[in-house]
Amino acid sequence: MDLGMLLAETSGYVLPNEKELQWSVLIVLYPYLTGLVAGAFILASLVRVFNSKPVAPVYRLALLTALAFLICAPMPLIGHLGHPERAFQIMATPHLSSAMAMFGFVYAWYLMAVLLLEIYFDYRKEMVAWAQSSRGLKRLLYTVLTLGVMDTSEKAVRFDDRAGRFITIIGIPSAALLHGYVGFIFGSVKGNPWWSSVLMPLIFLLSAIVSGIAAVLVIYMAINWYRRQPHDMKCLNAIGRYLMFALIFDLSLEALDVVHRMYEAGEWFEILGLLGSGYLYYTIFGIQFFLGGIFPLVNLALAQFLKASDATRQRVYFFSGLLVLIGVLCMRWNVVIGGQLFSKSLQGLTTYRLELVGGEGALVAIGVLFLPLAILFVLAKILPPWKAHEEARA
Amino acid sequence: MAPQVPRLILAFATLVVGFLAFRSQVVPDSFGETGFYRADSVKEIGDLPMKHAGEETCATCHSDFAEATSHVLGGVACESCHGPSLAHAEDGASSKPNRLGGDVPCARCHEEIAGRPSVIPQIVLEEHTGGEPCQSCHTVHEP
Ligand code: HEC
Ligand code: HEC
Ligand code: HEC
Ligand code: HEC
Repeated sequence: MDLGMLLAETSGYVLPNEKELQWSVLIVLYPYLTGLVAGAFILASLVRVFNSKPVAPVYRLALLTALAFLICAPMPLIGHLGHPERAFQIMATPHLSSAMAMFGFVYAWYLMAVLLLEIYFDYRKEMVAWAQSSRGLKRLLYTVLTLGVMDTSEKAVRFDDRAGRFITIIGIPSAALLHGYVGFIFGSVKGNPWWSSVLMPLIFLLSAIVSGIAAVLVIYMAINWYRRQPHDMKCLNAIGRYLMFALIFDLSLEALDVVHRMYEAGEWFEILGLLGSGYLYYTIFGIQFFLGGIFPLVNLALAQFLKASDATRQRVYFFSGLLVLIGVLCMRWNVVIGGQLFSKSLQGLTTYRLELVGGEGALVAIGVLFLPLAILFVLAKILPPWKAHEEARA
Repeated sequence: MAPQVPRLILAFATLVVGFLAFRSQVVPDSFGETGFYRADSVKEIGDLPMKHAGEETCATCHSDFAEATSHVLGGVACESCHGPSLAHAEDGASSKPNRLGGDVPCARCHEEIAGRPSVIPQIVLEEHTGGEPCQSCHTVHEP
C-alpha cells in the first residue's frame, strides 16, 4: 500500500516497520481452520472414547469435517508466505528450536497418525463391502483405500474397533497439542502484550472446541436439509448441550484473561484499552463476546431448559451454531490483527485495511474458508458418513 | 497379528522412505557444515561482482572533497549519496557516477521518524525548509 496513505491512518508514534501489518487476513484463517479441525475431532472422540451415544450419528461426519479442514489448514500459510516450492524445506531441514518450523511435524502427526488412521479403521469394513459390490474404477479406489486388507472376519473387525479406539485416545491429546500449539505460537511472543499470555493456548483450545462443535452442528443440519432427511433430535440436543458447556468454559476463560490483564494493568494497558475501544470495539465486544458468545449461550440455555418445540430448537441450534462460528472467526481476527495494530513503543496505533482482490485479499480468504466444504462434499461422496446409521435405523 | 498391521506398517514405511529419499534430494550438500545454512552460500556471495569502491578509494583522487565534507567525517560515505561507483573509481574517465545535480537525497536520512536513531539530526521537512530545496541554505558536502 502507498506509504502516504498508511501514514495518514496511523496515530501517535509508530515505528517505521509497524505501519504495514505483516500478518494478513490469511493468518487469521490459519488458527480458525486448525481450530475447527481440533474441535470437530474432539466432538468425534466424545462418541468413541466417552461413549456419548446420542452424538453417534455425527461421529463420522465430524471425522470427515476434521479431515477436510485439516487438508486446507496449511493453505493460508503457504498463500501468505508465497513460494510453495520452498514450503517443504521446513520439514526437510527442521529447526528444532523454532516453534513455527515445527508446524510440518505437528501437522503430519495429526494427519497421518491420527485422522487418516482413525478413518481407515472406522471405515475399513464398509470399504471392503463397497469394493466387493462395485466394479471398475470404484472397486479399485475402495480396494486401494483398504490397503488391500479385505479380511472382514470378526477378529479383524474387532481389531479395527480396538485400534480405532486407541487412536482416538492418542488423538485427544494430539488435538489439544495441535491447537494448543497454535495458541502457543502467539502466547510465546513475549514482546507483544496482546499475545503474550500463558492462557493463550488454553483459550485457543477452548474456542477451537466451541467452533468445531458448532461447525459440525451446522454442517449436519445443512446436510439433512439437503438430503431431505429428518434431524435426529436426540443428537441435536446432545450437541447443543455440549456446545453450551463448551461456550461457558470458553467465555469464562476469556473473561479470566481480560480480568487478569485489567488487574495486571502493565505499561501496555492504556494502548490496549485504546485498541479495544477503537478499531477492535465491534469485533471484540459486538461480535466475539456478545453476538458470538453471550447471545447464543443464552439461547442455547433457554432451549435446553424451557422445553421448546423441536422446530424452535432446530432454529436455535442452527443460528447459534452460525453465530458461534462467526464469533470465533472474529476472535481470531482480534488476536492476529489486533496484536499488530499497536506500536512496540506503546505510543501509537496503526490500522489494517482488508483489500478485496490480491494475493492476500478478501476474495482469496473467502475461497480458503469455503474450500474445505467442497472437499468435505467430495469426501462424503466417497465415504458416506450417514450410511451405517440410516441402515441401523431402518 | 491382525492383517491390517503389516499393511499399515508397509504404508507408513513407504511414506517415511519416500520422505527420506525426497529429503536427500532437496537438502543442499553443504547444508549444516558451518551452521544452520548452506555453507556454499558464503562463497557464492563472495563471488558476486563488487559495486562499491569505498570512500578511501574516492579520496585518492577527490582528496579535496574528502577533506571538506563534515558529512564524511561524521560517517556518511560518498557512495551513500552518489550511489555505487566502483566502475568510476577504476576508470574515472569512461564511467561517471551519479552527479545528483538538483536531485539531493537529504530527506532520505534527515526526515524525522520516531524510530530513527538520534545520532542523525532530524528535521520536520515542511517546518524546516519553507518549501526551498536544501542546497539553497546548505552546501551538500559541508552542510
Ligand atoms: C581514479 C581517480 C578517481 C577515483 C578513485 C574516483 N574518481 Fe570521481 N572523478 C574522477 C575524475 C577524473 C572525474 C572527472 C572530473 C571532471 O570531469 O571534471 C570524476 C568525477 C566525479 C564526479 C562528478 C561526475 C560528473 O558527472 O561530473 C563524482 C560525483 C565523482 N567523481 C564521485 C566519485 C566517487 C563517489 C568516488 C569513490 C567511489 C570517486 N569519484 C572516485 C576520478 C576519480
Ligand atoms: C550527503 C550526500 C553527499 C555525500 C556524502 C557526498 N556527496 Fe558529492 N555531491 C552530492 C550532491 C547532491 C552533489 C551535486 C551538487 C550540485 O550539483 O550542486 C554532489 C556533487 C559531487 C561532485 C561533482 C560536483 C563538483 O562540485 O565537482 C563530486 C566530484 C562529488 N560530489 C564527490 C564526492 C565525494 C568524493 C564524496 C565523498 C568524499 C562525496 N561527493 C560525498 C552529495 C553528496
Ligand atoms: C546517508 C544518510 C545521509 C544523507 C543522505 C544526508 N545526511 Fe546529513 N547527516 C547524516 C548523518 C549521519 C549526520 C550526523 C553526522 C555527525 O554526527 O557528524 C548528518 C549531519 C548533517 C547535518 C548537521 C551537520 C553538523 O555539523 O551538525 C546537516 C546540516 C546535514 N546533515 C545536512 C544534510 C544535507 C543538506 C543533505 C543532502 C545533501 C544530507 N545531510 C544528506 C546522514 C545523512
Ligand atoms: C531556509 C534555509 C534552509 C533550508 C531550505 C534547509 N535548511 Fe537545514 N538548516 C538551516 C539552518 C539555518 C540550520 C541551523 C539551525 C538549526 O539547527 O535549526 C539548519 C540545520 C539543519 C540540520 C541540523 C539540525 C540539527 O538539529 O542539528 C539538518 C539535518 C538540516 N538542516 C537538514 C536540512 C535538509 C535535509 C534540508 C532540505 C530538505 C534543509 N535542511 C533545508 C536552514 C535551512
